[in-house]
Amino acid sequence: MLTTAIFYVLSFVCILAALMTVTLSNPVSCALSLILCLACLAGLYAQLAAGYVAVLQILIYAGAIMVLFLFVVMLLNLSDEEAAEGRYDVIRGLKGLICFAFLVDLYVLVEVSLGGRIYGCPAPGLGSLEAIGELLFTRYMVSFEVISLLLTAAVVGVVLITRKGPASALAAGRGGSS
Amino acid sequence: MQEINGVSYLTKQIWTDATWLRFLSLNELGFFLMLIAGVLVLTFVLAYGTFVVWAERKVAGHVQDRLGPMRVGWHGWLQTLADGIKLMMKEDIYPTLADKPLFVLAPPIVFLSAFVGYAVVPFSQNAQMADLDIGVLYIMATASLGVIGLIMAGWASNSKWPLYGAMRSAALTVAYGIPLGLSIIPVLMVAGSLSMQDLVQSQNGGILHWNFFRCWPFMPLAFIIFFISNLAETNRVPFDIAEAESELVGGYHTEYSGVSFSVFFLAEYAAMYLACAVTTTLFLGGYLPPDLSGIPLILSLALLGIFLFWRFKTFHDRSQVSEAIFCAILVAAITLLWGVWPYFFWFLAKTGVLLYLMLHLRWTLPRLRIDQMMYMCWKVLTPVAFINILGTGLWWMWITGIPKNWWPY
Amino acid sequence: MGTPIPLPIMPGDLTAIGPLLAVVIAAAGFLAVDMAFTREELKNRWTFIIGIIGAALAAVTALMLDIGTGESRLILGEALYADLYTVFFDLLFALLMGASLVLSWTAVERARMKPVEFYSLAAFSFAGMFLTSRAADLLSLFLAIELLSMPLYVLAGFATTSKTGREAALKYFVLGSVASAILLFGIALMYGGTGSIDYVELGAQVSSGGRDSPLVLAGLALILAGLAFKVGAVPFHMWTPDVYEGSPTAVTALMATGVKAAGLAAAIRFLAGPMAAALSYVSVMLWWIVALSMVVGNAGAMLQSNVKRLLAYSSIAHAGYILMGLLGDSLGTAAAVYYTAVYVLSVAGAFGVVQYFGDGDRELETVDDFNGAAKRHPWISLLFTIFLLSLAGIPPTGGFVAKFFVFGSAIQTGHIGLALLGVLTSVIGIYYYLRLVIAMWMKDEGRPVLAELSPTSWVVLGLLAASVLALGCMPGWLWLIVQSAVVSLV
Repeated sequence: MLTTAIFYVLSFVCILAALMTVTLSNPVSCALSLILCLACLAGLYAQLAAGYVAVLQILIYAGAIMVLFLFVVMLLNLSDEEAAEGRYDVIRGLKGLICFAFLVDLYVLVEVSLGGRIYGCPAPGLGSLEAIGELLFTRYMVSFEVISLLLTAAVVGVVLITRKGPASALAAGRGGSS
Repeated sequence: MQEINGVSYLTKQIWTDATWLRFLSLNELGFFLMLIAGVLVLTFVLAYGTFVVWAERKVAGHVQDRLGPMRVGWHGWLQTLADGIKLMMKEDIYPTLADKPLFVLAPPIVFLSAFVGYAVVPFSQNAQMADLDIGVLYIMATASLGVIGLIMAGWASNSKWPLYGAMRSAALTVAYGIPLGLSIIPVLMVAGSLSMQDLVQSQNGGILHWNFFRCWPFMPLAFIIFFISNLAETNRVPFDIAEAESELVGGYHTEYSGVSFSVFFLAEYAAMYLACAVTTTLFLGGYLPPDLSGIPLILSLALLGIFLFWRFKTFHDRSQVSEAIFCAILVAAITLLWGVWPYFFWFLAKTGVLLYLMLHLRWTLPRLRIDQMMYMCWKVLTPVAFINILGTGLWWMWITGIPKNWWPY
Repeated sequence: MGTPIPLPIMPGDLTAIGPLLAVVIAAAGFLAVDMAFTREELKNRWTFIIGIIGAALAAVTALMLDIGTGESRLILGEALYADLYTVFFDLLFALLMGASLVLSWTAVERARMKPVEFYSLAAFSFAGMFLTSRAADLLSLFLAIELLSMPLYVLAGFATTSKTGREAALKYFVLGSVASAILLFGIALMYGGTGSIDYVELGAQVSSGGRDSPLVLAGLALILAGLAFKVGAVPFHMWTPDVYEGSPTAVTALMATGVKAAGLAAAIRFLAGPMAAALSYVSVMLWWIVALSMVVGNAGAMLQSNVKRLLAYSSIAHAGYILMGLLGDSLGTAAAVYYTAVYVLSVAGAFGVVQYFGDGDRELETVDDFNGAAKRHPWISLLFTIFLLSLAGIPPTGGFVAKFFVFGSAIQTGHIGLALLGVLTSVIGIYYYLRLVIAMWMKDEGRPVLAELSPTSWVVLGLLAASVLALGCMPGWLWLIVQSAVVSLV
């Protein structure tokens, strides 16, 4: 009873926050709504006994990535999105229509293919730290390592993008400390 | 594969398994117990916050050769209460151009992010609301939400100082989250668990089994990194550029007044105590008493003797002599009561020492510039933390032996 | 603490991912070189040495793989494959890495990138390419494609100051991210429909009637769309011309050869491997992708005057031809693999030549800029002509044989209309490739400048041209290898 109530509250707030993310005009409000949406999602994960995923969701997305989002938004000092396009603009309506069609499409997909069937109940302890750790170092070891490669590549790329001026000037000025 | 409706299936099979409540490690009836425990912890935080604000002012006073608050109560110990009442009586002012919903929401969010972390703090063997299997991560995650409140406050104030403060704290928190996370990995490697109780129990067996005293020099290094990163995460001096009274007029809380301001204030102290509690749990044996039996008695006595000798050499008048004798008696009493004291008091004592360190640092160190902080975070703490993990791993392998078949060929 | 779980590394597994390790070590070496030396000459010299050693090591370790009975082996926790197919593509990518090191050097410096920076990022991209051909589940596939794209997003834009360059970089990044999102969404639907991400398990589910599930169907379509995006097939080709034109030529060369080949390697592994049962379900979609790619690619290329745009549109058309092979039976798949190899060799050569034309900061842009090239630089024009003829599909080059195989298999499996369309569009292709050839050989007025070619460049270009010709004159040996590689897929 209690858990069902919590589930519905979390889902409702999650959907509402997601809608706010795409409809609000102020970019900071959008980002904050997204954080709320992610936090509710974390709650839903926790309900599914995936506490580790829930906590990481908050730690990584809400706590780090969205903070950087907000940082960039504030740095760029974006003003409210211009309300130049009219409220009942054709393009806007079309966008909404496409989104709605997509939603219906998804619902039909899930309903028709699953039809209420569940592919088994998760084994006890599936979302636990031990289970995830074991999977990370056995079945998904390659993926784990490839992600570390991906991140290294991203770091190298970021360093290249952010350094200013032509490469030669930097090398002349600072020696090889790049 | 059962042919029943999805949601009801989940309800029956998973939810009645009380997963959500298992997440908080309480049964269904215990939900209300949990509420009561929450109120208890809240009371603790409030009471302790009142005390620490007073302590901070006293420390500040003595560091600056003043007395600090002296008027309200014995040595001014009721001063904070008086200030609190004053703040509550004051008007809550909202700037005209503020984004009001965000402006109002920001202080509670900052406070909540610090407060929910207390759910997994092991005050004692039984005095813990929930022993999650991911306790440390849980605290780190909830604590990382605090900065969002600061950003909200800074943005909603619609004024330049708060905005600067918010951006600084965002940059700081994201950066220092990395050494913070890396520095606990050595401890987790040794303990083999993320649960707070397991972490404490893994340090059982006397002071030499505390993580701080194990695996020199790696663990103390981890401790230092963790402590510094916590200072940054809680926006304490020397990392308080988000407030920076002298340049930003108070940073993110410039525009706040009355109760909202006091909530910010309280949140900072709640976060500080939480940081100290986690540090204690991770490195200083949590609530465990410092059983000195691991150390030869002669060594501890010799240390005590050296300490007393050094104190007496620098004494000039009789009052200091009596102070030293008082100290010696205190030490003796503590030694006598070694294993007798309840766990809870040991926890308070350890966190108290760390808190004092934080307070003392605030009044002795100057504020760092943002580039100095970033330099320290990315070029000092993060690499050292990585090396630390490697070192601890090697140490652990040396202790436990190299696992068989580690190389496939 | 429980008992320690051994890592799923069996003897021989590390050899099986040897090329990947070699190129990752090379990437680390590049970074170390950038850190260790201050003088540019030393950096450049060591970058070249490490790169060549890495490429050679990749080729050698690829050849060291124990194929066994010729069946696919699942390695490292059943996440990757090791078979003749991976060896084939490993050799192709190792060759590409070597060619890129030798041929793109001038273009890299012309684009004001430091070679060490370019190749350290490109090495990560090559690591992704080595992974695409051996991915055994959707997660590895996605990560491989991300690993191969991410460095290119940076390379496309970090050194450019021009508006078109920035536009290209941004377009590539944004559209590439959308493609990744589509791919990921497809994977999610697929997982939702079957509860698995392993190719083998998915194939079993799909062939046992699970393919009637709309979730699986939608997932398949989205995955195919995501892959088509990377390959640059119509209707997911919009980014190709602008990005190819705006990016530095060295990066464009990498996109046209490596990324495309890797995307095709992944698509072939996905659609012709254990998932072959699903192919019949998306064959209509594939049919349209192929037909549109051939028409739009060739028609678009006909209208271009910019060489890079022309090659971009022609690469769209070639993606169509290669995917046509997938519509056939296993012979068709073999034809697709064969075509991929020929395409990669020809385009690597063509871009290799294009990169050397031009002096200072300027490079040759339009077809007319090549007027009179043969008079001033006959040998390199001859090489360029060979590569272009191969792309056009004129005997005795490899391109002709590849097209012959692909169309042949299409006719055999009843796709006569598609084969006919392929032949017709190839005729258009001949028109615009010959425009370049005519500009070089029959017009005199221009005086295109050629940068100085090092002896190694001559050797590499010559080898590429020789292999293109060899694949045209004696296709038998590679055709046999390709066929057994394709047999090992299933």
